[in-house]
Amino acid sequence: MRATLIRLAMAMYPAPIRDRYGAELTDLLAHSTRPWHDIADVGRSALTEQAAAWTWARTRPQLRRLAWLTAAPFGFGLTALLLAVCALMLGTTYAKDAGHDVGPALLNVPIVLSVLAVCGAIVALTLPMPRQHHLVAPVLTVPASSTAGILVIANLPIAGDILGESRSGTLLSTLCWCAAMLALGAAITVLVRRGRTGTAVAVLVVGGLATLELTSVVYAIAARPVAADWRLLFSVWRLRAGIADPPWFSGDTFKGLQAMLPMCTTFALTLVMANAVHQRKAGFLRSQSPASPHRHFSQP
Amino acid sequence: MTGLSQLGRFSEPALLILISLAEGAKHGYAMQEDIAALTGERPGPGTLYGAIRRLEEQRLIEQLPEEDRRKPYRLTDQGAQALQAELVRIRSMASTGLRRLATA
Repeated sequence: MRATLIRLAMAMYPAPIRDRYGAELTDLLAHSTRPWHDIADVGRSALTEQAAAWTWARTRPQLRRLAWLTAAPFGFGLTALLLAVCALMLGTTYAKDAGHDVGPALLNVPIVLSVLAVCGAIVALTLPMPRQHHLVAPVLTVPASSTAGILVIANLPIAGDILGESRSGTLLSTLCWCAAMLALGAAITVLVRRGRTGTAVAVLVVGGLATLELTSVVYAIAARPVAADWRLLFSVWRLRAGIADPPWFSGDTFKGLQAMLPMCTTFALTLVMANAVHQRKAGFLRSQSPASPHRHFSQP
Repeated sequence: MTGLSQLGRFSEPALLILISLAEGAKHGYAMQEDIAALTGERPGPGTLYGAIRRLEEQRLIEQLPEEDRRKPYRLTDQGAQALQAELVRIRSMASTGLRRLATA
């Protein structure tokens, strides 16, 4: 507990100060006789140092990255929609030429395929990201900005209707998704830091799927609170094509949210995982390198 | 000469650090102990190292090579002069205040 608090307090310092005095500060905190007072003192001093080191030039790239993260759900949604429309047109033409009948159940297939294709592209593009861009606290910023992006889409006139019929359902489901991503991101980061990467991958996969199921349940309860039957709740994630909707629930009320959340989940968890692995490798390389000469904070 | 007053909330801890280092090089924990004995209040690590950073930046103190995983600091010549000037200023201010109180 104390070690976690010390790490959090130290993380609040600007990196050059942390690199220069971090070991000494950590040592004093670890042997403090009044740890709460001293951790609060370090936190307050870290904020003072952050305020002193603040410049617009330093903040601008971070704000630009946050804007990209917030806009990411737009990009995912639009790409999946375009792919689905293309796949649908191609599939329908092919089926008609071959003399097959295109039923409503088959219409889900292009949507599922396009979402899976976008998820694959997200993984491929996200894995190298932590090596190229420094993200501040991705465990927090990625789910928070994706949630902001989804909620912005949900409140747009036409796009909001495409995302989900029930606004309260979309809001609750997305907030629930955000909370689950924060918890899973923290768990994955801790596991990777402790060298348990395999367990972290398992948590990512199982936790990601469980989150999608949970958000569907939350949406269903919010959309149909009176008719909700607990025995039927856990079969409403309609990406599993072929499973019929519960009689009281029309899957159409879900609309785009059921496609949006898997893509955002893939993005958030992959980015957090890749960042944790990158930090662990960077920490290992630092520990293997010979002691570098002291770098004065004011020097370039 | 650099005035300690420009160090904001770190000016008082900075003065106490300079006084502590006036008797010889010390590391962070020893400075904390010495200041606690001097003032009756131990400075927190954040406050201590906030002041140390600023004093180093102004070249009033400098770090010595690491000893037993601890990094000692010592006063520079510039730091000794700054401390001397600050203490003279405080003594002059204190004597003025005391004189005025006595004549009031």
